[in-house]
Amino acid sequence: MNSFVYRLHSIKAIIKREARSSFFGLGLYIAATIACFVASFIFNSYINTVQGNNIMVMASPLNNPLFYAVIVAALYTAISSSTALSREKDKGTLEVLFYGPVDYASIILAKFLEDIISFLIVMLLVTLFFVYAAVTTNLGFSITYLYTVFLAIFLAASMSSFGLWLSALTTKIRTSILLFILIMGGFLGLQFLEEYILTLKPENLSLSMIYIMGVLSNILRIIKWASPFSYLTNGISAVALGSTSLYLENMLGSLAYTVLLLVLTVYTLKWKGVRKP
Amino acid sequence: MKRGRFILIVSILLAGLLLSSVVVFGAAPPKQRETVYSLNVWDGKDFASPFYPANINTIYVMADFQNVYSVKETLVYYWPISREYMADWDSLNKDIGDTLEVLKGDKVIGTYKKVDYVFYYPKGYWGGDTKLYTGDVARAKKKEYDKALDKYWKDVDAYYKAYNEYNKAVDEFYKKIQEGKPAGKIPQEPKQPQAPTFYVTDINKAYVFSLPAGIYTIRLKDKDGKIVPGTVKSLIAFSHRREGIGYNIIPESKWTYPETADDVTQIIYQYKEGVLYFQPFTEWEFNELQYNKLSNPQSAGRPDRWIWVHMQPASNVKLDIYTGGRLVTSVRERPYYVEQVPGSSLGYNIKLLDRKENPYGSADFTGFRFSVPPTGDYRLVAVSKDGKVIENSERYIRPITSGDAKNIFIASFGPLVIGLLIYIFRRVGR
Repeated sequence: MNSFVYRLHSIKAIIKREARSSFFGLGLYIAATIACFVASFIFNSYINTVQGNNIMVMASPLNNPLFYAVIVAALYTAISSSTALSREKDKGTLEVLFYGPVDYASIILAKFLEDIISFLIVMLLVTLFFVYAAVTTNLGFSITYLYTVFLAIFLAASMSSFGLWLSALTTKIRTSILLFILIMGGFLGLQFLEEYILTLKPENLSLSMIYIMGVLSNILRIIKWASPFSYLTNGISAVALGSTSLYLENMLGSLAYTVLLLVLTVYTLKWKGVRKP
Repeated sequence: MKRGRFILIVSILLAGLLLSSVVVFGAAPPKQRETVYSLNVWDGKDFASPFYPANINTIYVMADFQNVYSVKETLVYYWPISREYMADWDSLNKDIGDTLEVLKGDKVIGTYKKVDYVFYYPKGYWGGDTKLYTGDVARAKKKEYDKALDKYWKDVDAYYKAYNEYNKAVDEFYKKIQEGKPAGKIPQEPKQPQAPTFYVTDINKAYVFSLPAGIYTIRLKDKDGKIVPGTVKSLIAFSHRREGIGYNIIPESKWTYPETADDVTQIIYQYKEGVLYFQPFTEWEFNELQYNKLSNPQSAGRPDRWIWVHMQPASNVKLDIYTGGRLVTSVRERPYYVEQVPGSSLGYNIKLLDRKENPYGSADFTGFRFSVPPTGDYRLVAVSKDGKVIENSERYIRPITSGDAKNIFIASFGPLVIGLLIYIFRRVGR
């Protein structure tokens, strides 16, 4: 057997082991429940609005609860990624793995693919819940939902690769989780800030606030290239607009982001080593 | 000692507050002589009249529509209350320059001289549907209006004379009756003359032209061919991204609070069953920043946002409503009036205005009525006179059948139940 087949075999073996562990554990189901529970609040607000006003006009109503559900699912994926390498390093099992036919690329790819499988299982459960909610309320289930879910896989890929990179960079589980929460929380916070800014009417603001808003908008424009959440938000906008080019642009953007970070993770792991600290 | 210092600080703060109030509200703002652009631009519905002070360097116009450009000297002042620069046209309003040039890159693509122009309002000044005419047509329109106005005043004069005669004839008529003499027929009151329903502005002179979409430079030259300082500006002629049909939706339950559904992605949700009245408009989608700047160059806008603008009511259309590919109904526009329920309790009924039964009644609104059934989903499309479905006119209508989200909250725990079952079965299986 050549090295490629060995590598493929070891990737398969690691994925199988990790996937079994996720599937039979409770973490994945808890994440799916939190995602569905968060989405329930938005469904509830829809029902209250239409009941109070008798009428409600809204574009792709499933996209908003889906956005939050995807964030929860992707955060779960990314947190498990961010602990994946540091945990094994901490326990010393990573070093043991390297005595077998495993190299840096195959272990990282295996961990990454296992996270994507976990994400897909979470999204499958979330989708079943959304179908139920859409049918019982008659909110409707459109093809745009599937487009968004498909794009969400790329978001999960970006976040997972980011988590893996952090995991390779750090040696302690606690450090990698804290770092991940800090950075992703920052990205998410900035995204909500941007959305809040968009709702403000400049004519109601003071001149200094308009200036601050302008500076902030420019900072956000740069930062959003580094934030995986912005790819999802822009992708959702592309779905709403029916813009294939914008959709592909965001899909390819997050794919490039993922590849770049996976390569970076390989080099970081090589640099940091696999031995227990 | 401490108390004295406190009183002093409070006094200073109060004095400062009062003085600042004087500065903001009491003082007349300083005015500065500036060369400004004053435009009449088509905004899709009517002509807006923005002015561009010297500090604004980019002019926004709608591509492929004729717009009116004037360059003037006026007094400009900053008005802190609305946070914008204003022009004091009453103090100074001097038209300047001789030739307006439009450049694409470095190449001059258009040279324009001032022409006569008028605005023609076919349904009166507030009636909308404004038209811009230039040259001979403008002069002819103005003449037509002056003639109509002249005729009106002559008719008014004749009316008052006829009314005097009528009063005399009425007096004579009653006098004869009182005297018991034959009075003949009762005199007929003269009819009041109708003022012209249309309006035409005075003839003015300005540069009038249209440009295809693009980024240009605009500048003014004087009679000697020299560029007038302060007149070189960027000019963005923008167009719309998409066209479609937008809807004003009047729910029967609250007819004075219409909703809008401007984008095909928007779904109209009705709580259980109810009646909706649709008012379709032709609409264009513009970049928010460009569209806002068009009518008010000093306003803000977002370059990353797009807005639909209702251009005019869609005429000669019908609305087809489908469910599952089957045509449910084809609705036509009808006039409706609102009738308050008698008594002191609140409430009203919306009724169809039948011209045969009520020839002198006036409609409160016109619309396409659709009674939303309590279940199902419906697809609405606007169909043109030639039977074609108009692009971007499709909307979905869905009645919301659920009264609360209790079941949804319960269902959200479904994944946890599945996980626990798998976990338990695995433990038991070991």
